[in-house]
Amino acid sequence: MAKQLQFRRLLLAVVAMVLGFAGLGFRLVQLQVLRHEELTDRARENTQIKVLMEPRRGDILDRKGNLLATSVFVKTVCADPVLIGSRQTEVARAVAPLLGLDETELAQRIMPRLRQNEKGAWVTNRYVVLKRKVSSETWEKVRVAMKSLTFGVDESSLPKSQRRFYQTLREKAVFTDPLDDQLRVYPGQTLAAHVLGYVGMTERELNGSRILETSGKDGLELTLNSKLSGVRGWRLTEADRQRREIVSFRDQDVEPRDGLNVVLTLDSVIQHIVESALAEAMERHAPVSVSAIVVRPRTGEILAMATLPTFDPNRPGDAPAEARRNRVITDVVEPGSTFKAVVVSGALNDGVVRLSDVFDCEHGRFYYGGRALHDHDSYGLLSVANIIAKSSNIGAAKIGIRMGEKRVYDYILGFGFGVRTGIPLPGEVGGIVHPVNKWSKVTIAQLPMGHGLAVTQLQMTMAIAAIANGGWLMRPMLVDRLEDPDHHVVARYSPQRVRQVISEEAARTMIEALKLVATTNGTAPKAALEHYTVAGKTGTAQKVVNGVYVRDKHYSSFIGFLPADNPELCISVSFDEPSRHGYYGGVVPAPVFRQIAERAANYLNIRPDRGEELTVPSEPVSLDDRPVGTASARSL
Amino acid sequence: MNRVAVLFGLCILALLTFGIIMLASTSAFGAWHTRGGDTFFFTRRQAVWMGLGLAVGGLLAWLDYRQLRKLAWALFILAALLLAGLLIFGTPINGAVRWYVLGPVRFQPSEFAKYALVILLARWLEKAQRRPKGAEEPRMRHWWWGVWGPLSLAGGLGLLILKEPDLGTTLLLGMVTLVLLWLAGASGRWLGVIVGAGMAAMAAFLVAIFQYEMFQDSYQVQRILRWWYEDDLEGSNYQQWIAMVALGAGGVEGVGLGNSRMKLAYLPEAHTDFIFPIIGEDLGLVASLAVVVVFCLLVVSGFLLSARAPDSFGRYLGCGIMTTIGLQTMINLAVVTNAIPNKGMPLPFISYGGSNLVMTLAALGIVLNIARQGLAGADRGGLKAGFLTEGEEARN
Repeated sequence: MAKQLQFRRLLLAVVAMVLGFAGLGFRLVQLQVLRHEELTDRARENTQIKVLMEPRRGDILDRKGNLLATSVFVKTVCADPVLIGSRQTEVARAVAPLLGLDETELAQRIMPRLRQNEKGAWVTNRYVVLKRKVSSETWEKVRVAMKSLTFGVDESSLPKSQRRFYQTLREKAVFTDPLDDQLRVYPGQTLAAHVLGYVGMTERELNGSRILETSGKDGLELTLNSKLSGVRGWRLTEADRQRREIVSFRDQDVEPRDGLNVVLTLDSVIQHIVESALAEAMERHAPVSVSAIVVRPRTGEILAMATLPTFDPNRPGDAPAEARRNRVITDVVEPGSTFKAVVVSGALNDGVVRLSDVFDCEHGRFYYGGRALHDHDSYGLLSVANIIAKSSNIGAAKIGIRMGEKRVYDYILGFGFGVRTGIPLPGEVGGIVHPVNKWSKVTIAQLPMGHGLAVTQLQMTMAIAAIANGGWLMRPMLVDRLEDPDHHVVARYSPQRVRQVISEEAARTMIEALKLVATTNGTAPKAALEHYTVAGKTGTAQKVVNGVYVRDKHYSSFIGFLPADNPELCISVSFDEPSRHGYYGGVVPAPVFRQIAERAANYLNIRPDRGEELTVPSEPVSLDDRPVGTASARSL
Repeated sequence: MNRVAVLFGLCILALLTFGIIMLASTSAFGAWHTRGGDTFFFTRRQAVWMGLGLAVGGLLAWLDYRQLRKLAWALFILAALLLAGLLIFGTPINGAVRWYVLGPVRFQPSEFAKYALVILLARWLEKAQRRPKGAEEPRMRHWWWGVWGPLSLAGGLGLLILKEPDLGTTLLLGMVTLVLLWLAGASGRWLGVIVGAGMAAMAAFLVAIFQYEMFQDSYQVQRILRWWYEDDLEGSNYQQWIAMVALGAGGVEGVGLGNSRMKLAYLPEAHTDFIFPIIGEDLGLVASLAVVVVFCLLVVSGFLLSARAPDSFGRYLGCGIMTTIGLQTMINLAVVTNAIPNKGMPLPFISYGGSNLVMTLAALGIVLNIARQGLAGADRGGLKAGFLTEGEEARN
């Protein structure tokens, strides 16, 4: 009886055990089959890490390969307040001077703090950024300082856990981000600052995580940002709970592709020549600003472009916004007499006048359309050539009137006024040119003397360069080529012709007149050079303040090119409100032009065309030979 | 019956072999980081323990288990002394005093105490089968012999273990004792009253917790509550949550041997109590189910072998051992699959831990010996053989 009972119970126990195991088996099916997808996702969330790898931003080089802007890798120095414990003061004292931070403020920042995370749990902060963009050398100093830190206690007598605390504090409490950051460096400091622009940090959301990235904010850094910045790489991998990467589980590993190097048409020597000449002029004449452009008429390549006041792109925030503005493309002015070259060359092209034609300059006062026009001096009869040389407003107005409104307007547009030149820089404006139907009676007389329209200095320079280039207007060119990090050429840009505005013959004739300007007979004898014939034009415009021309504010400029008959360089210099030592275009900018032209021509070894016996017929000294494309060929 | 014994032995060997492989896979990462790059630190130690365990188990399979009858009280007292000694000489690890630390070796007396209790209970219950002169029923039906005596013995050890504290092992002892009493024919009414009272107390406790929100300050209660509501699964119930994640990530086919991610310090105690989820992650449902099936086969075949024991001491001893191992396995598996609240309980054969492995192998050696003795007896055939032996009591 009892045996039967026990046997039954034993069998029941076995069955119960089997049922128990079956239940566990079912639970396993539930977890491993039914909840497989969900739990796999959760597992991946735990382990997966995605690391973004910054590409190196490309360099900007001048035409000779000199560095204008480059990127160096730097560290982000961080601290773990938990590992620092209560030793903030000692750590701050050691680290703050090396990083150039305030000691007490730093001690505050590395204090452990509690906060609640999204789930409501209390967590401590274990990551405090002490300083970004720290050079490797500085970081090395910080590391050594941390390693040799002492706390005024005899550690060998401390218990093991305390000893370990101090050891980890020294070795791990201050650390760097595993991925190097990069710092944009402009070795030339202010050199070509307005062309290069500067970079800034932008915080951007990428797949839910916030990243800081460097991007161009102005100048070429902005317009060529996509070429310079390269392509970010990433690594999809897994980590253990201490966030140590498990390399064998590395999945996607895509190297970043570094940005392209940009080689400019600028020549840093000429840029430097220009900038130092401008600095001297700034000192002497105390204008609001002074700017200069050096361009090769044949190709439109810009060799130098500078504006004062300027800024240091290494620290763009230190300079006021006015100093960061590239005035040669963003500011419009009434150009004044330099514009006579535009109208007169149009008249010559149309055959309306010849250089020898004589106009009555009314002894300095001419009434037209109910307004009086004045010359700065009293002239009687002047040939067209002399109207240019002496810069007679009345003569120019009469030439304009003879051409007619339609043709004057055509040539204004033809020389590229009213639209942007297309230089690859941000902020360029097109200027103001009113269509003929908006003109008043007197406009036709004002325009030839450079009033009644607004242009940028770059437009004006390119127009004069077109006259120098046989009538061909070129698109200004700043970027010569793009190279990959190994200096293989990726893209090469060709000079672009916009259009032929005047015939070569008309251009040659116009140059004859412009040559007279830089003589004792003309307005700018101070622009004359010893070894080269200079052709050019002065301009002195009264500025408009609140809609009225004011007597004491001038915009004075000189645009010239050399050698006049075979132009290699076209240089424009302009002053905004020169306040000391004169204001005339022939007095203030002309000597600056000469200074720049002399040094630049020397540096470029341009063959002189006067002052020496020329034994061989002058060949154009070309900086390089390059096919000249048309405007539609390729644009940046 | 021969075939059952072979199956039993094969199950043990299979679990041991598989266990050491999985331990190598699971413990390598932690060993590398905590043992100065010694990847196979735990595996090597476990192999040594396994050798020792097999030696002890083999010895016990060879010696006649009936000798244990004489040692039963001595072993029990030794176990009690060892547990009591813990209160004085034990080294606290993770807030619990469960181990004697002798240099590099740790010994957990409760592992020994479990089997010492089973041996004494088997002896006690065998004696309780005798019918006093003139009585119609065996002593087993008496309240002292059949229920309260054995329960007091278990309760004595249980209290000492509870003091460590080790609630899981205490509960295991209690369950094993009740199962053994039931198997030995204790009065169903008495057992019913005890189990019923226990359940009623549990119910009252739960009502107090859930309905009247009492005992909320207790750490244990908090743990149970969190487990029940499954809130903050990833925070305070992190270990079981990651165990579920590991099993789920393994799916049917697993991520491949050694490719488990959760063992990378995500799952605490991955090489000891929580080794099973890593098996499930590495090799998938295929392996995890296989492990469950092998454990089930081991327990069933162990019961069948015990049923064939030549005497009731052997039968109770075998059943007690198999119940202990079976319940321990089930509790461990239920914990790691988050089916019950977290209780520290190693998975026999597979979890890292010398005391548990040696004691388990020793206990299974005893079961094997019981089987051998059963087979060595006359060819009585049939499962009921042991139960039908006449004159059994006379031999005592």
